[in-house]
Amino acid sequence: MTAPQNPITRAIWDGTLPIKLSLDTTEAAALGAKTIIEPYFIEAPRCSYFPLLTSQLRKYFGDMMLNFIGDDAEIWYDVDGTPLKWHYPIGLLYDLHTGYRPDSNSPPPLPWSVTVHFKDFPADKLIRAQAIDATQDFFMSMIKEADFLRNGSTKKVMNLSKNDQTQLWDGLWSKNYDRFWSVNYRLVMNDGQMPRHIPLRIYLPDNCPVLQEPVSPLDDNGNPLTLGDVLHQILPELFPSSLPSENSFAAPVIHGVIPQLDMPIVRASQNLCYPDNFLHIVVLLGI
Amino acid sequence: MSFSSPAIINNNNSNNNSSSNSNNNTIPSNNGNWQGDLLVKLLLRDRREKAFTDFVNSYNSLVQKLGNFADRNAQLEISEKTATEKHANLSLEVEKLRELGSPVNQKRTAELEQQIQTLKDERAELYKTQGVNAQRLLNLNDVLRNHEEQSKKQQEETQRLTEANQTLTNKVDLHFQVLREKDITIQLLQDELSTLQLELGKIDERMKDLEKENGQLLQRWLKKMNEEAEKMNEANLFYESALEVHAKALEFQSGVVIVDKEFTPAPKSTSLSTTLPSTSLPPPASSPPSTSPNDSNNTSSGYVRARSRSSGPVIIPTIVSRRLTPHDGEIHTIQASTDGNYFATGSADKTIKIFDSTSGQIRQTLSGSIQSIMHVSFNNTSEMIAGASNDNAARLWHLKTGRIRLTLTGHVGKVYSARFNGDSSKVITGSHDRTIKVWDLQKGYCIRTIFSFSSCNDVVPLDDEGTTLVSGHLDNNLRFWDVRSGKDIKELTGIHLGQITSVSVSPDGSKVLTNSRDNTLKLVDLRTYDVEQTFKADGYKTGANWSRSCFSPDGRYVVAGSVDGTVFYWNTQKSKLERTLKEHHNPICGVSWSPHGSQVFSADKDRTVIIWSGGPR
Repeated sequence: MTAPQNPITRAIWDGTLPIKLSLDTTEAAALGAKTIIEPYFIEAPRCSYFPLLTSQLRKYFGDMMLNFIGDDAEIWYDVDGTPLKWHYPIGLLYDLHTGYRPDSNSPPPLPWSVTVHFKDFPADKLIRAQAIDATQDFFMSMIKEADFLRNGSTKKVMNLSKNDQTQLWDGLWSKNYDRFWSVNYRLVMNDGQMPRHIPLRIYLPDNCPVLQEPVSPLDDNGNPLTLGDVLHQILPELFPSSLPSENSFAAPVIHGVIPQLDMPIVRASQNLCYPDNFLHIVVLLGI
Repeated sequence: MSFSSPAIINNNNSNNNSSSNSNNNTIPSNNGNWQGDLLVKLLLRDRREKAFTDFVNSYNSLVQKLGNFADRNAQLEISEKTATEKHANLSLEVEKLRELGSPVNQKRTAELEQQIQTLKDERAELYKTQGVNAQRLLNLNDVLRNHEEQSKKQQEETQRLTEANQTLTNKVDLHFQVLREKDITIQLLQDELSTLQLELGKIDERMKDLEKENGQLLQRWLKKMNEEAEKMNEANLFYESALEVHAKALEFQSGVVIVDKEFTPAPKSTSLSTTLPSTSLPPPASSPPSTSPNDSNNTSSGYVRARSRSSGPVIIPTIVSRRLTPHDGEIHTIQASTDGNYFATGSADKTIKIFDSTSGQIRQTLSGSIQSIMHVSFNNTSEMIAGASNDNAARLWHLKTGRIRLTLTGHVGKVYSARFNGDSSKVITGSHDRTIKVWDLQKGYCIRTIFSFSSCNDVVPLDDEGTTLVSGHLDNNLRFWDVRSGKDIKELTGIHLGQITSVSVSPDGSKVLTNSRDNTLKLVDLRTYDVEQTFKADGYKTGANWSRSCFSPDGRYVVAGSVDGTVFYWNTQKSKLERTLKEHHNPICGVSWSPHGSQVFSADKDRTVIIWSGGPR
């Protein structure tokens, strides 16, 4: 069930999103576009990050006679006027910004429409330096943080050989499941030991701050906690009960699906975490 | 796109709804089902979200193709642009050509051609001048090159000379340095010289002191020696008086006074000299017992008298009166005493034996030598006998007491000859250490050493004092010496072809007889140093390196012994062989003619001694 060829992790790894990347019209004129430039369509992996798409994007718009000579770090993305945080995985951003509950009947249109900007980087809202190197550093630091939460130290990551560390990033970059998971498996499974805490983050709509609390995988009596128990603990108002039947108001979305609340939190972490080893849960309200 | 997608999504949603509802309703606490549920949900999600995969893929390939077309278009545009440019250039050229074709231009062309012609001519002339110039340039270049070569040579020469100069300067410097060093060395040497001179002065002083000291010591030593000699004299006196007492006692015992006729030749015979023949002691030939050489002056007024003493008629003795074999070892020498009463033999058995010349009885045996005796000789008074020995020493025995009086040591080789001078004050020895030494008997040490350049086989004093000597040597030469200067008077070379074995002086002192291993005897005149006569004979061969020949007491004959045991007599006046007598059977080592004239003593290697006497005239 936790073998490298886990169908769930495989499905999560293979998950993609079709995105329509269109240029900001005012910027296009400023950058010397003579005609209207057609938007660019791309199918991006849900686990990937936007900076990994930038070079591809840039080549396309370059071919479209766009005269842009700035750094990759100048390029940024927004959806309906909201800048996208480049350090979140694409799938998480989609779930968060569309606010689409898979159990509702009004799915947002696909492809996902994203606007590309080559100018006016919103330094007040986004972190600068979103080049690929920065993305890799951020990704590795997230893995270390997850390891620290699990074990109280980053020994497991730090003890990885240099080769293995680069293999993690290279696997993500080249969309190679075997390459990535042969290393990540050891980290996620924590060598079969019960982790101290579950690395997880909860995102709420309407720009609420991200919740990150130390969550123990077991209760005081040593019984494993379920996903529902954890949500109930952290958000007792949104999740008045740990049972799914009573929680129709709010729903946790991970990877575009709503998992069952009676799923043990350890298993959830092992199966549904993003490549940065965190369980990113988007909580959506109402129907 | 926008039409189809909602439908699919709706479908998905409805599926999703139903599944989630069923999950919610039926299995709220089912622990294992969440996997299947998740998989289903993910599948539904993918079905919705991957609906555009085909579109996106084909779009991407179209985008790529578009990019390629754009590139190609750009290339085509560039090539078109260049083509247009080419076209413009060509049309321009066409325009120009058209202009050239007009009649004005033709005329102009003709003019121009003419001009060209003239210009060509000019050019040809210029070429010519250029050719000339080039030729001149070449010549000048040659000259220049020659000059350059010369200057190069000169430069090289200069450089060479400079180098030579440099080396010479260096040499000069070097020489200066060497000179300076030598000056220093000279200074050092001078310093050393002065210090050495100082030292020399000191050493001279010390030497003077030492000489003074030595003189004192010598004086003291002489005094000691004199004292010793006096003591010796006293002892001898005492001994002789004891003998006299003994003789008196005997006389009284026997009551008979016998006057021994045998001792009549003695010039004086006291009444005390009567003894029994068998145990007779040498009669005091000279007056009272006097042994010191000082006293010998009193006894004989000269050598000549001693020689003239040969009173008896000289005949060649032919009869063997006695044949003796007294020694245990080989006999080396035989010598008659100066008074003719005894003769002595020296032998390899380290003893000298004294025989009565008439009876042939052994009177005394003198021992004390460490090695064999090579030569014996009596002094003029026949009181002492000198023996030369192989032990590098010569010894003097007193015949009366039979005791060694002196041992003369100092030679470093075998001593082959030892002889007294006339007054017995000195002894001359000749040795194989190539020296001749003269010993003062009074002082008892060597007063003169003569370096004779060759081993000396025999040495004889030529006068009474012993101031001149003649010596025969291993190198065939006969040498004459002055003892006072220690120098060579005369050296006779080439008279013999073998080493000289003996030298003897004629009774009148005018000639010297030599015997040599070339089997000849020669008579040398002392005044002219000429060889007067040569004696040789068939069958005569010198027997040994120490074979001695001798004159008869009147000098008319010479006698020598041969290797086969034959005794040869030559007449010196007739210069011919007078007689040969063969009684020995071994090499004869020496012969000696008694001063009485009627006896000859000979000895051979095989220990035989023969006394020859009498015989028909």
